[in-house]
Order: sequence, then C-alpha cells, then structure tokens
Amino acid sequence: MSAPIVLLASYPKSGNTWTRLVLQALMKGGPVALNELNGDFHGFPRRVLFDDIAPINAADLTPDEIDEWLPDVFAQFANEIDAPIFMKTHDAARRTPSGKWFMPPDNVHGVIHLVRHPFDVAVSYAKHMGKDVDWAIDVMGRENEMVTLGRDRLPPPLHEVIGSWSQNVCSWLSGSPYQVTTVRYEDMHESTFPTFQKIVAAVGFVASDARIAMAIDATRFDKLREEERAVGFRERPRASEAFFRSGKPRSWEGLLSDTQRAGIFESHGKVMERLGYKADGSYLPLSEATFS
Amino acid sequence: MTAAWHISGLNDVVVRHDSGLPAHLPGAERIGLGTEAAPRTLLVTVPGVGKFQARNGDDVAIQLEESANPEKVRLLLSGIIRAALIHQRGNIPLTGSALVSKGGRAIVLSGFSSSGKSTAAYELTRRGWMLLADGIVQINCVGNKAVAMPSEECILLWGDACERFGIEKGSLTRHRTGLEKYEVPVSASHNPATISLIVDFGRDMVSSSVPLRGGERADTLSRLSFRPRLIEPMRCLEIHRQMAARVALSTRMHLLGGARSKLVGDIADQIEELVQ
Repeated sequence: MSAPIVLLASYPKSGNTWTRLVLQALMKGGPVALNELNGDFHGFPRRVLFDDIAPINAADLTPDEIDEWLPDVFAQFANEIDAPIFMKTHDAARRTPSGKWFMPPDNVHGVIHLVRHPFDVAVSYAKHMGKDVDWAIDVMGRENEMVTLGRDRLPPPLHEVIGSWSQNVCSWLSGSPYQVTTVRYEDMHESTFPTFQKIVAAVGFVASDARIAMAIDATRFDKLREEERAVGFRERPRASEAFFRSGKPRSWEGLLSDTQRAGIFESHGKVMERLGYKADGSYLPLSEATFS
Repeated sequence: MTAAWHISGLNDVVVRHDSGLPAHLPGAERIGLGTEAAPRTLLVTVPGVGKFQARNGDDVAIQLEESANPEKVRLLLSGIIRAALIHQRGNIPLTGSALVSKGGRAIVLSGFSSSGKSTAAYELTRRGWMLLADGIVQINCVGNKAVAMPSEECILLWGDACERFGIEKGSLTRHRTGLEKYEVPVSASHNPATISLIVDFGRDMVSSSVPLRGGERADTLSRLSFRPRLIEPMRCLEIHRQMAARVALSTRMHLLGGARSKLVGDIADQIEELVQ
C-alpha cells in the first residue's frame, strides 16, 4: 500500500468508534479492550502528532495557522510510517485557507465514509454532549461548524471543521480527491457481515470470513455497553452518561417530535434522499440505496 | 529585519543574522515540517518567516524574510531552537514549568500540552513558590544533583484560567495576537535550584498518583523532552541517555494523572504533600 493512511470519516455519532473497534479486533485477531482502542490520530493524539512534527506547538498558533500546516504534518507522518494506519476524522473533506486538501490525497489509500440517519444522529449527538435535541439539530444545520475550539483556550483535541450534517456528508460523497467507500450505519446493523466485508476490502485487508465474523462478534453492542458499564470508556465526554447507548437504528423513535423531524428534513432532505433516508425516519433497503 | 534577539535562559548565546544560511544541511535528515538535522546542528525553515540554525549548543544564526512575523520568530527561538541548543549541550529541555519553594526546593511540573501544568504552577506561585521556568525547563546535573535553570518571569495562561484566578486581563501582554493567551508576571527566582521532585501530569483524564521508579524515570524524561525527535538525528542520543539516567537517579519523580478534571487547589495540595 503506497499511501498508508486510511481515513475513517464521519459526522459525529455515525458509527466511527464501532468501525474502529471492529478493524482493530480484526488486526489483533481477538477482542480489543475498550480502553485499548487507540486514538487513531483523532482529537488529542492528533495534537500530539502536530506538536511532534510542526516547528511551533499548536497551542501557540491560530486555527488557520494550524490548518495551514496540517497537510504537511500528515504528509511527513505518512512518509515516516511503514505500515498502513487508520485515522479517524469528523472533519468535512475540505481545503485549507490556501487551497490545499487538509489530508494530502497522495498519502490517503482510501476513505471509509460512515453515514447515519440524521434523526438518530441528532438524538445520539445530544446525549453524547449532554445537551438537548434542539441544540443538536441547530448544530447539525450550521454551515462550516467548527468543534472543540475556544478562543480563550485550546482544548486538548485540535479543532475540526465538521460543517453542517449535509455539508459534511456531501463533501465525502462527491467532489473530494479520495477513493471513498460510503457505508450506512443502518446497514452495518442489518447487513453486518457483508457491510464489514465491504469495509475490509476497501481498506485493503485480506481477512478470512471467520476472522471478520470473530471481529464483529467481539464488538457486539451489548458487550461494549457492559464493558463500558464495568470499567468506563475514556472517549466518553464528561457530560455524557454513557458512550454506548442504544446503538440501534431508529433509536430516535419516541424522542423526536414531529416538528423536530420536519425541521431536520427541511434542512437536510436533499442529502438524506441521496442516502435513501426518508422523512418519516425509515430508509431504503441497502439493495435500493444508490448513494448518488 | 535585523532586530536583536535572545534566547531566554541561555544568556551566553548570541543570535546573529546570517544572510547566507543554506537551503539544506549537507547530509541532513528531514525530521519534521521544514526541520532537518545533522550532527549537533538543526536547521528550521518556515516559509514567510525565515531560516533558523542552532549549532553546537551555543551558536544561533537566523535569516529572516522581510515579512517575518516577530511573534513567530520569538516562538521559534524560544521553542524548537532553544530546545535544540539544550539537547546539543547534553542537557534536557523538559516540557513544563519549574518552581522553587521558599526553602529552596525546586519542582518541575511536566506533561503534554493542556495537562494543566501552567495552571497548577500559577496556583503554587500564589502560595509563595517562585517561578524558575515556564514552557521549556533546562535541566542538567551538577555533581549528583539535578538542577533546574531559570529562564522565565511570566507564566502563560489562557483567558479562562485568568478569569478563574480573578486576574485582570486588560493589563497583561497577550502572548500572540489573536490568541486569548496571556503572559502573567509572577514572583521569579533567577538562580539555578536543585530539583527535589519532577511531576508528570500524564496524558489521561484518569486520576492517578503513582511514584515512578527505575527505568520509568529516564524513559519519562526522554518522552517529555521538547521535541524528542531532534535527539538522535543531531547525534545527541548518547549524552541525552547519560543525562536522563543521572537526573533519574538524583530526583524523585511522580505520575499525577487527571489534573484537568480536578480543582487546581487540590492539585497544588497534592504537589505540596509530595514535596514534603
């Protein structure tokens, strides 16, 4: 694999952590303890990487200055590693202020792009951040939304420009320079094995069906929930009661009002339809969804 | 731009302007963004700012572009260039803050960015400790004692930390234009001090308090050095290892994890108890 970085790209709460757990279980050949899940160079680990490679620490730079150096930091890092790595991102596929892709295309083997029905994203994101659903719906509609950045402090993770939900999804669906494989969260649940087979093939792994099945079984939601309950999960935000909640598709039912659903569809309907997501919260079966 | 520059805490170093710095060092290894190293030499090139060369622990040459932002020049000189000089001298540039008590005991609070070091350091200055260094602490050994060298008189605090301490920001100097980060003057000591404790603030949110033992200490000193990736390509690995081993033998070290999730007063209490 000449380009060693495999991006796991998604809007928050769209299945990124679960996918990372399955892929790491696959690589390890057995279950991965929740708190052994590596950071995949997201959040704080991305900042450590930046500070290791850039000549000035992120804490002394503005977000635009950090963005300007990020592509070269990733390129330098890619040149130094001799095995493929996964890199998680919630960023939209985007260019820096001077026009470079924030992740250098030459260093990216491919992108696993994870999407989830925005009704479920809204509910899950609100719980994750310890906010109400209207907050999540508002954030999901904000163009060029930037997370984890405060002017009066640099939080441990580097900032990410996630954009609105539609902006984020569209940026990966078309127009980016990467080889993108889009996967729906709902299909990961309902057609688990073939969906992960597709992911495994896209990242360039050679793995037997038995090994894929083992990795899926090792990361069943009930096991993850139980493990989080027993020992905690370091990626859980302080405001969130639990990282692994229901995990099921249509978990928005009973939690979103008609008005909230209508509002989400009004803001994101066009993009939802591209993914087979309907205004009533249902979705086309995998066989009929085109992701066009 | 030919203004006079200096390197804090390294008063013997003269920063000279040199319009003939090379584009690359002969036989150098590229080790970071615009950064390359050869034996006992580091060259950093930042487009729009200039070239910066640190050599043999005491020689700094710079070639600045017309449009060079003075703030970035200062950051490069006080950060990676200063760290390179300290590595070249065979000393350890530890990321963190150093303070000295009224009784003359020095401590170093080290750890990754955002682990809460500076905030804890400021709280300790309110309790009578004096600042020795903030950002990069130069550590060397004199006989069998590890010594922290003085370099700064201000602690850098983010705006929200200033507010929590009730510090009036209007009178402070901003560390950089556009960043809510301030240089907060504190009582400082200008004398080297023997280190009695080095605290590693860790990188986890998980609370922990564990003494570091044996080989862990030297490894931690290497890991928490500023830009450890400079060490080997500058051919400083052997002297670095020797110094890390000497420091590790001559001072106590302690892991204090999860500082960001605790009250700063509690952290300062814990540190003061550890020093006793």
